[in-house]
Amino acid sequence: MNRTVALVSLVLGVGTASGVLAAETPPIGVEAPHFSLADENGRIHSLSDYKGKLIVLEWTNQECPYVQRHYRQDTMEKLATTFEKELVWLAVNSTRDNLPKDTKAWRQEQKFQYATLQDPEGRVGRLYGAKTTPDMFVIDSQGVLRYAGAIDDDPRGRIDLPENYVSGAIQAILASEPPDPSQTRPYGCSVKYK
Amino acid sequence: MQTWKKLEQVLLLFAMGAATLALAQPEPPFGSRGAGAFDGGDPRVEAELLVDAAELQPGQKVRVGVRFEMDPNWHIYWRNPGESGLPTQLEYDFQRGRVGPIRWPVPEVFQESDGFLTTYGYSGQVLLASEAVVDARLAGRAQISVVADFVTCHIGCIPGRIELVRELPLSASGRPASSSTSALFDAWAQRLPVPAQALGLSASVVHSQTAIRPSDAFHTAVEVRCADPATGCAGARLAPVESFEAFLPESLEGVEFRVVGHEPTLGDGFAVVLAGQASADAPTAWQQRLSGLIPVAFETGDVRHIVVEGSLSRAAAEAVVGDSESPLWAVKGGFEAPAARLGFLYAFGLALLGGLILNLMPCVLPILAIKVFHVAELAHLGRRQVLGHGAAYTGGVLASMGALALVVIGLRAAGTAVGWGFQFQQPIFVAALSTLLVVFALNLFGVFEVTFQPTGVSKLGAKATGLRQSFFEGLLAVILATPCTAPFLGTAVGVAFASPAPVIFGIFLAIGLGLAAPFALVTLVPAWARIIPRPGPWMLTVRKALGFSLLAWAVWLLWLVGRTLGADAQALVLAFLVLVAFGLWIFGNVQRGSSSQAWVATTAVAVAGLVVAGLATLPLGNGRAASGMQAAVETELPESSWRSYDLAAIREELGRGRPVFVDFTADWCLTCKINESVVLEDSRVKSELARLRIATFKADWTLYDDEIRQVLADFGRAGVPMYLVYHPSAPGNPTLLPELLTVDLVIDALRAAAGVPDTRAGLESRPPRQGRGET
Repeated sequence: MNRTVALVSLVLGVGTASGVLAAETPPIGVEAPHFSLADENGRIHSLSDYKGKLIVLEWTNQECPYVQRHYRQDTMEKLATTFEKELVWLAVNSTRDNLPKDTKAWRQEQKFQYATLQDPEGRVGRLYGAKTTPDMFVIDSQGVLRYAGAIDDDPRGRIDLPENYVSGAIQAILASEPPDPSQTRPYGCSVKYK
Repeated sequence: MQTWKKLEQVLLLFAMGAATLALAQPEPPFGSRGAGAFDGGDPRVEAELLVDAAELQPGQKVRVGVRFEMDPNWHIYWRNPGESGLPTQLEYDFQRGRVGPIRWPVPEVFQESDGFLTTYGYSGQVLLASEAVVDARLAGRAQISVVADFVTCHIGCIPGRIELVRELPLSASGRPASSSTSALFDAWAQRLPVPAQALGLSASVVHSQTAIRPSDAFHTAVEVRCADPATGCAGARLAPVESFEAFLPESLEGVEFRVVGHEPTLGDGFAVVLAGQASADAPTAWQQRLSGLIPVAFETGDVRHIVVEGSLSRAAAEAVVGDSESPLWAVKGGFEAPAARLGFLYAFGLALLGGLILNLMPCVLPILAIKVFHVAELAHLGRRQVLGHGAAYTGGVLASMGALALVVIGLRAAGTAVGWGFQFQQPIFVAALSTLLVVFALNLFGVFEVTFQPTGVSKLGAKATGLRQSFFEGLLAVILATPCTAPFLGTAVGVAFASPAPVIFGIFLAIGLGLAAPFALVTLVPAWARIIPRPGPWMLTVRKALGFSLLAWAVWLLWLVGRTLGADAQALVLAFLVLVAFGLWIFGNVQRGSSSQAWVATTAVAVAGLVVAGLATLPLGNGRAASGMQAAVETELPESSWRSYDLAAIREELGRGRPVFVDFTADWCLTCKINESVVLEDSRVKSELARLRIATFKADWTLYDDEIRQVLADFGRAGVPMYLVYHPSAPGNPTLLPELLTVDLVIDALRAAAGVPDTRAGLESRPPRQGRGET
């Protein structure tokens, strides 16, 4: 009897909330949220592993034309190698149907050096409020989030010399200055969360 | 409302379809049509450059525009694309004149990833029109060209770029375009947002701070009022939409706004309350304004989006800013609860059913037993008198439900949002109720009789007194019923609390009817009354036994007093109860005429004095209550793994991949206590919680807490219990468990949340969001 009542009310009472947890960027100037994720080869990366170095998180999805454009132009790879000594570059793929082998194939094709963390459940993406691919986060050597937003000021890919915000943020942090801007609006495809 | 909106869309599409068909016949010049955003060779978007003239007249103002047609489920973006996408851009080249800015039709709102991302745009088709002015110089032909730059998304996104060109002859008198082209421009002009003034409304924007510094979190209220009732704007209110559709910001740069509340009655208008979050950077000059669209429903049934603009004074990080106080900053929610869309009739039905089932809950059962017992006691009375008792009891139930509804409506009008069982959040009420129960128990013990004549009447069942008692029992049934909830009731009350006053009243009365129904039916149907045993000596025993059940109730209430206010207050209330009992004992003696008048008079005066003194010293202030509660919560924490409700902590746990179980409870909520002791404390549930590493949170609503009330409202509830299971993979979409838990049900839900296979399919299915494609 109890169970029947419970089931009936489950049918009638089950509801879903809308927008209860909407995308929110973690605050700039505050310790970045912690996480541990495996990359495409199964190696676990934790933010705390890289204390003492700058960390760049790049939300990626190789299916997205905006990501493809930046990979054709080597935007990410160039930055990662320029500041090789000072920072750790980590791509994060929160696409629901992305498999490690897809990432491996993409890395083989594009020949970039850094690992891509596998987040098909979208946990870390939601933790960081990642909205688009690409969506960039720069964390300083103390683990504080210092920049969040777009890779550059050229969403449509039409500017000859776009201002690269991530490069600006890295240089500012290395010069012990606050990045300006420290927050921009990311552009690109929406993250295809599960 | 939804249906109406749908119908409007269908009609509009039909009109546009007709216009497009008619348009297809005279083939426009080469180059005015194009396609873009190729998906493996298949264009996802087609576009056409339209001019609302066949021949241009020098100096003329003419509408030009690009009509986009998207493949099903694909969309392009508004001027503010929202949290992803890009604004659609049109770059005109018109040598014979100039083209003004795009007039953006009201966009659709797309929700993605269960509401995690919100975007604005157009699916199906859209005409982005501008006004062009033709040069006064007259010569030959004019060429208009445009480059449309956009991104279209469905699951994937494809950037697109379409170049369109069109040549038109110039002539001294000009020549209008085909009527179908003009009709298309007219149809889309109907979908433009309008200035508030154009509809007789005034819209003003107020902020909680005199200026906004980088990283500031603040509140903004958009107040919409009927400034000119002659235009028919009286009664204009926020269109029935979900919160994410109530304010469409025209830009997200610099400050992000999120709708947090809706105040439906603001004198002659309403307010939409936004939470603003400024970015960490110094603002640029053009971020000094706030502008967005708000959907307004008129009494005629029309819904129009108005443009709301206000200043947004930005300041440097080190600036000193002042706060502005407004009751609006406390406004949260107020949007149609999901259940409200089920329709009020359905809610009334649920209320009736819930009220009926409430009789079986432990809260009301003792009263119902007493009631049935009284029927037996009164069986010697005539049928009419029995009916009278049924009516009096029903009247008592309805009167108190009505009164409760009025209190809820009154409190809401005064700006205090409350929930089901709210009166138990007031310790003074709990103390008063325990007194009432003791009085009632003493009555059942025969210490005194309920009568309003000072002396001499000792005969039970004097007609007027008996009816009064039935009415009183009806009142008591309602008061005692509120800490319990029954299946269906949560939904019905949730709808009530999110509805206008008449609906609250109606739903409360429906619950009352359901509650009173069993006893009323027993009195109505003589055959049913016969199931009650004949009166006899057994009745005295039962009467006293029922008295003890009421005392047991009082113990529970006193436990509440002890928990919220501490042992001292509890002792005071107990002392007060002893005095009351003493007073009633003397009163009873007087009733039976066994005491001398003089002795009675002196004792009565002494007791009255003590009672007044006792009342005056009762330490039942709310402030002390809150601090007492705090202490109680803190001391309880270390021994259990249940943490107090904290949205940030919940997010963090979800981020770590742990599912989260949240128990919304209150000490006075009997249903909660039963669920907790029978189900949540069950060893199987406890071991499952531990095994699946589920984070557990308790949202304690024993005392008033607006944050918890708001979360309850978000899920269409007005009271506890409520149980949410958050899946780490879908934090925006927790599973809502029913009000009555079973061990199996909870274990199934926990396993589903933890992603344990087999049971998952059953619980993971979610109702599809109507009319919103995935982006």
